[in-house]
Amino acid sequence: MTTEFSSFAVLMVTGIFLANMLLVMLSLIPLTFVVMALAHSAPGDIHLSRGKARKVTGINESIHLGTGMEVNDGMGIVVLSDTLPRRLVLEGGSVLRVFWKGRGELKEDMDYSIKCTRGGSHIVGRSRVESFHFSGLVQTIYTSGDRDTEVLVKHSTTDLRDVRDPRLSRRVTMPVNSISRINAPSTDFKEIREYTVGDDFRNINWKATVRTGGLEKDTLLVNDFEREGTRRVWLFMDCGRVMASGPSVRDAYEYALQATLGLARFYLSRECEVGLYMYHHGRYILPDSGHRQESLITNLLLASEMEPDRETLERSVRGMGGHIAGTNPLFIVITRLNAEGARELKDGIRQMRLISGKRSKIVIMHVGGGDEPAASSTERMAERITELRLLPVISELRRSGSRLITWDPAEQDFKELVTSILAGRSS
Amino acid sequence: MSPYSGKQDPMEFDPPVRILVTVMVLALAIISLLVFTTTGLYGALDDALTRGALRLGLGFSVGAVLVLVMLMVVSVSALSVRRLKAVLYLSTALFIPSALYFSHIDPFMIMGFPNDLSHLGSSLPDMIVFLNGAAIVCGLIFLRSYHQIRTLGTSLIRRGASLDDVIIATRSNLGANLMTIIISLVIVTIIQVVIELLSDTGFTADIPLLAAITLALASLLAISFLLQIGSGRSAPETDGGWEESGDRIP
Repeated sequence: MTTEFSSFAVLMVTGIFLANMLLVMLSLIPLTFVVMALAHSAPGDIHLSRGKARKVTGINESIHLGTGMEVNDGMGIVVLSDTLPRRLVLEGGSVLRVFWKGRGELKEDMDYSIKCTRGGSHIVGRSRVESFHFSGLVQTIYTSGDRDTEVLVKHSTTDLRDVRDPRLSRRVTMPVNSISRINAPSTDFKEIREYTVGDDFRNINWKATVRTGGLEKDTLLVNDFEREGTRRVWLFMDCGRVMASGPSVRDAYEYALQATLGLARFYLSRECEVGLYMYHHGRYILPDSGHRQESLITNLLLASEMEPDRETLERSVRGMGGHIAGTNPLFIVITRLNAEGARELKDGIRQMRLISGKRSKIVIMHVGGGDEPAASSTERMAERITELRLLPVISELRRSGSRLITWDPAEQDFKELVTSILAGRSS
Repeated sequence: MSPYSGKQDPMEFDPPVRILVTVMVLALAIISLLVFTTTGLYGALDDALTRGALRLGLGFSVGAVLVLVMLMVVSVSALSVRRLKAVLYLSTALFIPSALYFSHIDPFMIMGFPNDLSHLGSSLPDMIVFLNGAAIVCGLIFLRSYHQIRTLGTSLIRRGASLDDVIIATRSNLGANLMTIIISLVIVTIIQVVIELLSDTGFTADIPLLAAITLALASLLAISFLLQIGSGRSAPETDGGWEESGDRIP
């Protein structure tokens, strides 16, 4: 408004001072312009409409979002925009549209599709509208919609329960039954021993007692059965910075989540007790079995985030020592190997053996993929060099007695990995 | 920061409009220059400079050379959007002598200068001089709008708006501005014509009549202006401090 008003004022004052009719008349032009421009207001009476308040999708899947806008009043430029959370990537359309609101009513839509790269609940904030008066003489008016949209992104999971490959049930690495003295006896015969107070009368082996002359010696023999032991699996998932590998839309962390959830479901379906520890994140779920446990693990993974490195694997295992000791579980560590993290991993493995004994099985799943595919020969060569740098780490880990499985998600489906490598060969 | 503030240098996202604006400003500068050459001031300057040149042995009109040089300067300046305003100010400066001719109060004469304002007048009809002045005022208003729209458009493109959307919106906006400016010009011209018809004196009206007309029009327009400010300017519905949307983990 300054320019218009100052030119009006200068011309008018000069015109009056010099008694100059021409200047006075010219001064009326900016004044008339201002009056006429202000006869119209900035675009207003705006109504925004958005679809569902909650949308559910999976990782790397696209969903459509949109906002309808109706502007009934004013004249000028209208800017309609949405702000996407960091983790949602715009795939098609635009989250910022610019429209001209003339004399008539303006009805427009803003449609776009987004891809979700990280699980969890993401909030797409309310749509915003900026109304600019066509002359620029009036302040910009800001309006926003009345509700947010929640985009719930579910982790992609591999349900190993529906794998029909017979090798899976026969040869997949399973935890050893732990020794239990208090659980109920199973039907597996263990031995014949002398009766002790508290033994069930039904277990007295009369034939053996008579044959050995026990009746004469007042000694009864009883059949003893194996006690039902628990088969326990501990999943240790790395949530440190090493998992945020490469510039890929989907990094190693997402694949690790997928693997963890797939393994947890698989072992739970095989009547194992599954515990989860997310090291560097510090959150855990103690071993248990059943659907409730599956649900707890799913929720924990859904809410998980990568964290700065603050808790080593060794420290995490030590922290869980009380729950691990005496159970002889199967440990599965899901991580991304690198030369720097090898020492930490070895310390963790040592701690596992220290607490649970030398017989415990340890599997290390190395999530090897996730980076952008190499485009040039130089990049491919760099990739190879990186892989070669890992060789000493891998052989060192093998020497420690653990089993190493390398999973390159870009080249291999998780089901394939389980049915081939996990069920037989280790790489 | 307001999108109109123009802290960043605006980019050229609509070259046809830019060319059109440049042509308009150039045309305006040329018209002002032509009007200036019809004034007494130009005549006096030309005489003095030509006499000086003759003494140096140069036998051509220095005024004509000056006009050519000025045209070149104006053309070069018009290549930059920033200097377009300077070109308009130059046009205003060229127009001032013709406008001052219509003054009833002559400060130069009062202060005892040898040449008074009556020597500055243009030989062209009064209405042409008026239209020249009106075109300069309109040009200034339009250039301001253009600059604002350009800054806004640039800011929108930088924020990720589609170029097509921005071009359509900004062109429509400039069209609306231009229409308002033209209507304002037509209204003022009609008022002027009516005054001329009523008083038969035009821009050389007597002081009492001029004062009466000035006061009446100024009061009328000032009142409507204030009323429009009251009704047209509305406070923003929010202060612009929108909440940031973000991730929420259940």
